[in-house]
Amino acid sequence: MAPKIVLLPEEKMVLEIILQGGSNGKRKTETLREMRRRTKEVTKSSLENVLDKLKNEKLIKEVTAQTARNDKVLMGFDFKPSKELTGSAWYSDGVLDLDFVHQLFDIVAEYLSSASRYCTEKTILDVLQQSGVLPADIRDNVGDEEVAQLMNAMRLDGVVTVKEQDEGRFYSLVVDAQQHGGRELASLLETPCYHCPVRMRCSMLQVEDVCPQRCEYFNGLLAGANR
Amino acid sequence: MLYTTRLLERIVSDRLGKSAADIIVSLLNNPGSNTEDLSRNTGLAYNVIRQLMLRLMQHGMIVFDDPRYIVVTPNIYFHLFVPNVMNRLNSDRDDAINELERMRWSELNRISSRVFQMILDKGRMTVADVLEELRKLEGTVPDLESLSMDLERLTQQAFANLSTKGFIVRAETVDKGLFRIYKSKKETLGRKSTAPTKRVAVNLAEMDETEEGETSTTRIDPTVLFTVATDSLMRCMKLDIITSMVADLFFAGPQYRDLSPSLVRAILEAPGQSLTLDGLCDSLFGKTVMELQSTVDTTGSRKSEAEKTKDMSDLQKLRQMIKFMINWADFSVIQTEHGSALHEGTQLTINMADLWEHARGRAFDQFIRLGYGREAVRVWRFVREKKQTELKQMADACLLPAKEVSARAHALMNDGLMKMQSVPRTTDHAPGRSLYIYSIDEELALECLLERAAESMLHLLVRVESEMARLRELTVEGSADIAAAKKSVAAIHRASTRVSLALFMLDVTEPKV
Repeated sequence: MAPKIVLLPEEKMVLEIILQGGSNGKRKTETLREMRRRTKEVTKSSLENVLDKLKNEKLIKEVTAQTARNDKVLMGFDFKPSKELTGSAWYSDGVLDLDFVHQLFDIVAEYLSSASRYCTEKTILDVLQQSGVLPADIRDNVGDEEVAQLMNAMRLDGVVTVKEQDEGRFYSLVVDAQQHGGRELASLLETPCYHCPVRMRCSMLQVEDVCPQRCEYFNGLLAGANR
Repeated sequence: MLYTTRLLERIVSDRLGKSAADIIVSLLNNPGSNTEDLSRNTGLAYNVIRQLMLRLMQHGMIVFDDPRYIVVTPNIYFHLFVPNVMNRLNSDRDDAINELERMRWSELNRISSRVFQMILDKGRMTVADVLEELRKLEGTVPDLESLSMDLERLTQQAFANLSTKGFIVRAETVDKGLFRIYKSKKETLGRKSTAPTKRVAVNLAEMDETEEGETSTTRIDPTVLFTVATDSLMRCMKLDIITSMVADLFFAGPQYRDLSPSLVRAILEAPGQSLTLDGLCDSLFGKTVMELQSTVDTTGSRKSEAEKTKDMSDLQKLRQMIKFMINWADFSVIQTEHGSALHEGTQLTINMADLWEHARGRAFDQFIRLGYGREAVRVWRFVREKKQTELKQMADACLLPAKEVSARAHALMNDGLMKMQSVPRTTDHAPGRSLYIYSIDEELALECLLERAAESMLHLLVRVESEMARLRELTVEGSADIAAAKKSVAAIHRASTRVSLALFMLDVTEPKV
């Protein structure tokens, strides 16, 4: 029989505060603030000791949150972290695997380019699962919601277009997915002035050393003509 | 709007002189000024102001808001009409003039484009004025020599054709009586003018209207003033952008590639940008809907199987394309009176306003992609959709790490394209406990980009001037570097032409005749 864990009143208070966070957990700073509200005799180092003991006794655990910055989030050992905390299935340990996401984009884009009709989220989910690219640990966690998130990101990228109907959302590949068109404003980026590091000092009156008449950044534009 | 002001000043100064530019700047800083105000602000004499104002009004760069201008009132307030100034950059573009030459007018091409250019330069001209100018050029310009016998007739026809196609319109003359100055307040109050107004009355309703599509053989009154219909000129420039966008968006497949730009162009070139299905088929295939569906060809003989199949396939493809464009998710690219029912007489109209807005949005997105990265486009589009959002939501929706999103958002903020507002949660305003809300004000973003575009354009114009001066010096010296200097001038000139297109895309106002 496992020995019963005996907790001091202070430790019980900390455990209670952390368990109140549920599957969203509680940050260390929030826990400290709450402790100080209840009892004035707590310090950061004493809290650290309490937390270490609770972790060793497997009563709490630390979870890396998606946007927690340097704060770890504490929660009950048996609690499953919520999706808001850890992010969707595309996040591991609170970190988004960008290469993996781009790989998924490529698979979906390839499928949509060969499909002659609009596709639903379920179809795309089947394609991803059959592709074998989803690791075993997240395969069960990937559902319609995750696929919708992926497709939304592709829509924001301008790669797919979506039609919302009563039956659901239907996706297809944008014809100009390479986005060759719409470059009318790109000429602003070709001139040196847009990203010029000394733009604020530029004067057309030639009183400053920086002026369009003698600007060396224009030399690139001129050099292209004389090649 | 420092650079936009300077650019406008520069455009007017290059074309109409420094004094005209001073008037423009005064009107920009003090909109709704009368002649006394302008004289005081610019330090120019009244008669100089009067002459310059007449010239600026000839070009439509200045408007006034008194609808009863035939009655001389003491204070008529003038306003600058910025689009007609900015569009002077665009009206020098070759593609606008080439558009005219593309039309099938045989020997009228040369005369028509020359007449158009003259009216563009002078603002308003009559047939008599243009004929006089052409006769002066006869001895010097080779393409006019061969037409000298028929110059008057050809000029008349050029005017009639340009007018029919909507490139020039009849203009009202500028009332010189607008610029009377009053010596004392007593004279100005409630008194009608006793001096006769020197104004040529143009009663447009009495003039014969030319029927659409027909070359007018009626002699045009040589005293009637014409001016360039700037919206037609701008339509030429929008045409290429819109047709290539429609082709990219909808019809990149090889079976549609040739048809889709022709479809859009055919409707856009029609008067009122509206055409029946029959007219469209005639324009694209040379046959009406009935002829395409018929088993007999236009000569009366039976069509071969291949011809019948091709005609039916063309018609079906066209109907599919039109239905797709009518039912497109974002907006109806083509509008009809009766939904998506397509009969021979169904009037098809291009939804120019929404298409142009879409083209501008697409250009903006591409600009963000090229200037700030692919990830920045996701962030930009998401914030634009949501109006207001915070970092975590952006990271979730765009599937990007929060650090990446923050970096892109701050890059956009630095250039005035995005805004951020901090909402403190605690009284100490601690950054760690504040909420940061990101938003996009599209008008402000457009203004910022317009200002940057004006800055780039201004610097390019200054550099062109400097390179031209260098070229002149080298030419005088007989230096060996002339060829390189010429190439430099051409390169900078090309860059300025491309930036003028960017300015044209960013302009949200419609030009006025």
